[in-house]
Amino acid sequence: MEDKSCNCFGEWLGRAQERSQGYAWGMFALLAFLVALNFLIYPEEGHFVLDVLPGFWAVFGLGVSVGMTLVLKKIIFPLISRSEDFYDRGN
Amino acid sequence: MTEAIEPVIQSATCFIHPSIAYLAVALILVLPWKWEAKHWRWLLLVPPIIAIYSVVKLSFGPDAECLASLNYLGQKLNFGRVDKLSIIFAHVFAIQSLIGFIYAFHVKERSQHVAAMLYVAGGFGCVFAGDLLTLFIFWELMSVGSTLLIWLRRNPKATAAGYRYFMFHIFGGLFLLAGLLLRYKALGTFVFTAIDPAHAQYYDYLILLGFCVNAAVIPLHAWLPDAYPEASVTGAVFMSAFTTKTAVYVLARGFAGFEILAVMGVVMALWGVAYATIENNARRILSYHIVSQVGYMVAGIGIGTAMTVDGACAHAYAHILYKGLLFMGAGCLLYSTGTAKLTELGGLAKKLPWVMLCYMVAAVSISGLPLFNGFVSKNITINGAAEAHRTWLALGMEIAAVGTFLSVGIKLPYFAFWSKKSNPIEVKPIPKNMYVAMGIAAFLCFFTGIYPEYLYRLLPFEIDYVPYTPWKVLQASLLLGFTGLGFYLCRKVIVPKARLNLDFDYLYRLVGRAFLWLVSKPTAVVDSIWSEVYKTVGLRFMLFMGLATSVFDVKGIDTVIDGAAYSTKFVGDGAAQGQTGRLQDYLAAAILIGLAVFAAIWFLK
Repeated sequence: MEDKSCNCFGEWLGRAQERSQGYAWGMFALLAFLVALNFLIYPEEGHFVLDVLPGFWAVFGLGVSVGMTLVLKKIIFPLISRSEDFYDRGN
Repeated sequence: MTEAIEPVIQSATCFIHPSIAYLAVALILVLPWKWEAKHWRWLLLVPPIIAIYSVVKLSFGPDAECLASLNYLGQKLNFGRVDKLSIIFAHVFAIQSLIGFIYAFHVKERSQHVAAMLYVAGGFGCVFAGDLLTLFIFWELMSVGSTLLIWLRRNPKATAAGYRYFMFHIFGGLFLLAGLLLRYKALGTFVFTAIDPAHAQYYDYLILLGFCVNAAVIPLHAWLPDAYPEASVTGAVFMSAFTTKTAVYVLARGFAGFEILAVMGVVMALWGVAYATIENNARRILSYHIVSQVGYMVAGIGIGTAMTVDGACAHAYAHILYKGLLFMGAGCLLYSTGTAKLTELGGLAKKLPWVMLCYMVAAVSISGLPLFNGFVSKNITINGAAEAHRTWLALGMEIAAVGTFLSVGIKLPYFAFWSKKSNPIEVKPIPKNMYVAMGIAAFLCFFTGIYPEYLYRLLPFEIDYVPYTPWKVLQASLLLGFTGLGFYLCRKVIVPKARLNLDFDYLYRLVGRAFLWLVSKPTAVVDSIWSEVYKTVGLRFMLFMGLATSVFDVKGIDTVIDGAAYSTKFVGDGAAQGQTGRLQDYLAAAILIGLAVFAAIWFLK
């Protein structure tokens, strides 16, 4: 719990946050390993034609997440966002 | 289209309807007894335990159909339809209500518990309802209970949001009522069984519309992200579990195989993640994710194969557990810091490490990471869609899966618990019972993830889907891992901003305002025209009538009455003048009258 007596876990997380760059490199290595594994493990037949190709889901995940973020934050958000008190002001 | 779900249960034994326990405790709590919270709070755990006992006993069937029915308004109300479809929902409702009441165990305000009890009783009532009339009664009970859970946050925003919520659910309930009454008129029955999409009539579509309001189907969904973030900390945990999932249950019961649901489900899945990606309030992000996750279930029901309906039920089961846990985590943030806005949070991992851990269990569950329940349930639906050759729908669900991990799996926890070195915001200690509830939920998310047979046993149809194959684990890991990389690259772009995002609620408000305008403005115009007409025509007419009455009064009434009076006076005057008081006058008069009488008699003879 967050009691002063036993916040060992919280303190460990605090130290981990300071080493975040190291964790990031660890994650990149893991991703590379997963793609490498994809050359060995792949489905016999895919649901979407292209998904039998190694790395398809890696490209899909990256492409969709980046594309979604850019489209939503740069195009949609400016169009539909209003100030927080928009409705309170009688709109 | 799936064949009808056979009741697994044949002979009648005793069935304890869980709603009775919840309603009884609600009644006890509402009585004005001066109890201390430390005593009555233990009562809160009684109905969930009875419910778990009752449902687990049923799920071990095969000797338990039961069936409570009651004659009311000349109809036989069936309170206890028990089959595999109702059991799986009742099972998770019972467990989640126990978790919810443990989470709310510290709340001393009895009314909050009463509202939650009514709400949960409504949920169980709907799940076991054997006919549409019984369903409608409990459906409305849920609306009332959940509205109270919003109002009991007791601030002006919650009051307004609760009012809008209630209006919208009454609106949905009226569609249901109209549909079931028209259906009764046409078919002469309130029976609630699967409706064949090829022969659905307009009244079936009215019922479907009523269900779609509660299932938050686009564009009828905006009540959800409007109201849930305004509910009380503990109330939102209940609300995340019951309303939409009851709607999923009734859709699975009545409307499997309706194409419109297949398409709208995927639209919901995408719409929800899109808004969650740009939203700032943690509880609103989670609310949009209910829309998204319920989308998977609605799509599964719409596709309507045995596998996708199973997927919808499995996903509802998993979803109730992890979504409740997500709302508990976000509720802890709100309880502890007083805000759920990501722009004000951040850097809290050190201060609330266990909340972060429990939240992350739920976050990876909803995202479908192997070892957690979402991995099993979501993939049943997606694979079912692909196997039914609904490739585009399956692809839409995969895109939504990426968006889910992006927004709820990474963005929310990153900006709530990390993103800043430290946060000066004051952190109130969190009651132990809240941790206990989160611990149970986290365990169940993990347990149903590593032991899917537990879930499979409850599914309405036989299933042979194997979740853990090397390829499926690798596919999910690649998808989520590279979504994480996408977030890492875009972490400066995706920073939440303290803004309000317009949704269909803007249109609802326009419609509401148009209605208000229609009611007030034309009425005002008619009123002013009427005043003018009255002033010019009416008043003159009245004046004329007054004058005519007055003339009639003088010439008519007065003439008659006054004439009689004048005559009487004249006669009286004459008589008075005639009576002079002198004897000789009276004698002369008597002789004259006597002569006149004689003359008359002689003359007439």
